[in-house]
Amino acid sequence: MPQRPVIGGGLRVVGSVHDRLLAHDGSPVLGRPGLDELSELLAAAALTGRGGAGFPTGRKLATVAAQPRRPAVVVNAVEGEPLSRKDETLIALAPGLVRDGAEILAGALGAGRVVVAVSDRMESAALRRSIAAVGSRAQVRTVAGTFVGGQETAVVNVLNGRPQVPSDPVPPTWERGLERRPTLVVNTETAAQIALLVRHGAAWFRSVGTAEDPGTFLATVSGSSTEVVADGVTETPRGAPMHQVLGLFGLRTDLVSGVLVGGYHGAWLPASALNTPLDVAALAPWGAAPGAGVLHVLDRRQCPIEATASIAGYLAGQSARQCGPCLNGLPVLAHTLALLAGLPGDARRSPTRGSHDLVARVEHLTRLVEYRGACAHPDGTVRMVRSMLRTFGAHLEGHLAGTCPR
Amino acid sequence: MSAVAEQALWALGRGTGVVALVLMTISVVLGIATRSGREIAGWGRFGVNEIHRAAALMATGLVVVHLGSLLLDPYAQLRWFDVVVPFAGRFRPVWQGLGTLAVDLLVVVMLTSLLRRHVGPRVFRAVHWATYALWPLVVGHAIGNGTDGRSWWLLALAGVCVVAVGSAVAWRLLPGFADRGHRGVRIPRQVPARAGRQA
Amino acid sequence: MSASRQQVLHVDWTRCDGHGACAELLPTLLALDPWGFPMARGDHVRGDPVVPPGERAQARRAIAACPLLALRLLEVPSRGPVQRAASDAASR
Repeated sequence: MPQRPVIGGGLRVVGSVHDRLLAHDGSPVLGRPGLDELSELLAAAALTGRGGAGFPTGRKLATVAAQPRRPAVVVNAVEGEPLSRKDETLIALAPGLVRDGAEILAGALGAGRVVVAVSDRMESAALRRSIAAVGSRAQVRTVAGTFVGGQETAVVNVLNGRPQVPSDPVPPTWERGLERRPTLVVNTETAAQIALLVRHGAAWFRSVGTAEDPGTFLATVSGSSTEVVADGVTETPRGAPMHQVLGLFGLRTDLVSGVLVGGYHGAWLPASALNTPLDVAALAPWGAAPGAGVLHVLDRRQCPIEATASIAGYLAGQSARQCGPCLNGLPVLAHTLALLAGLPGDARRSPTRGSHDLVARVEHLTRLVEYRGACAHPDGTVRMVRSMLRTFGAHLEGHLAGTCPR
Repeated sequence: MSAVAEQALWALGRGTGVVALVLMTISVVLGIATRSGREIAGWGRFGVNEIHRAAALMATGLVVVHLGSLLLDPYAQLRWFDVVVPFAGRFRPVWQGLGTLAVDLLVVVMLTSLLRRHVGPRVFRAVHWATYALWPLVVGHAIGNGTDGRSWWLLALAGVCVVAVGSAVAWRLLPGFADRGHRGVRIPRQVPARAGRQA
Repeated sequence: MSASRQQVLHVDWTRCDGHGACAELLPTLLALDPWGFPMARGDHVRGDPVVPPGERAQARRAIAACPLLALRLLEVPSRGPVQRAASDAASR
């Protein structure tokens, strides 16, 4: 299959016939629809955000447009999720699309400020060149690429000269954001998709994907199945079966124990579900969503409880440390998961006494931290942990009996 | 003005000053208690905060009367100018100046406190730190400026106030202060919300 | 107050530092978690307890009592996501 140049750090971009964003020839998208025209286009295409939340972009646009003050547009390319590298890829390979998407949104809104926020982990030279080449008024700002630092309000805060941590969602950024203006914050890929949508139209956009979840999306694939280690980005239509996407990287689905869909705040799917189509409806029963397109494969040799505990430990460390329940609760949750993961090797502990306690404590802790923070960091952590309890229940039973069925 | 009226004003001025000192001491101590987030037998956290604020408001009211009576009393030689500008007074300018500084700080602290919803929590807290400067000024002013300043009962009273605030500040500086008694807590089996809502 | 909207007590978690006066004043709506932070007892919308009309005055007292100014009353649509209390979820 066609391959593209390595981006950096060994990241592979795997091309396919479905490429749209990745197949872009670099020519500027010149269309500048007015607000009504763009709104109709977004509604007809049913474009949803590609940054994780999957919110209908047209509705976001309308909410900002309805505000009294002159708005601002922020393209969020901070990509704080370590498992996601698609925004980095777009900034390097198709910066013009990102630029044009930003300009299209700014034009329709009559925005007074347009900023593309990139992380300090990224190479932004191509983006800056593409902006200068057409005299765009979009500004590129480099900010820290931390996990919670990529959250919408954290990005707006740092652009406003404040610490790069999330703030209270009230008032929302669409009401008061960058420079106290109503601010439309969109993901890098969403902006790029908008540019192509303006050029080719809604019918074209919907010609791939599913009826309810149309278009393509960029997936970042990571993890391993024994000797094959994946680390790359590919473009795929919504609704493509997961194993097909994983296969592009040589991953053997019979050699994996599960997949984490959506990143560290996503959900685990078992090996038996690897033929699940990657669209909102098909993933919903698993408590998962395409989100920002992260697919992290868990090697058959790895223990999913250990992997979950390790991720939870990372997430606890990434807390912005502003909100009591998150700051206090996530480390305890991670520690309890580590105890669960370590059960088989813990000879001192009797296999049956006290160990079911641990599962109850994990469940209890998830209820304690859920919804109780300024951002969705505790909620996402809870989602990932609960999905482990559901998906790897049998494996968990093994741990409680004193053995890891790995 | 008659001699009786003069004496009454002077007494009122001193009296309100002394009581204001006591109330401000109470307010500082309870302010630290509020910050600690601990319940005080029967008052609760809410109660501690309420009494802290009530004491501060009463003290402010008494300071207003204190100033008013001294402005009217010719013996005090207090001018409006001296109420705001420190160290320019005719009667013991240095000690009186401490009082003036205290009034300046008191005005800012009380205004930001009453209007805290408008100035925001950061400004409110930042200005509130000034109370740690305000209180010593009040004590110094009381001892140095008041004509009872050297009398045993005022010194004893001031001593009690200093011990009270000193202990509270020492408590404030202890490492476990901000834990609100929650350090090392074990996660209970039941979520606290379960109490009163039986399955 | 229209029938299609309800009021919730919104906690600004970046300001809250677990002082706890709110839970004292609204014991039917709030409890304290093991670290002293307020937790919704009954129905809530993303962690913010729903405030029935009868509790509104007391809720305003709690809002005024918070030394960190971490509380406010928010109006939200009634048809929005109202979750049952965590304790309910535990008993299922």
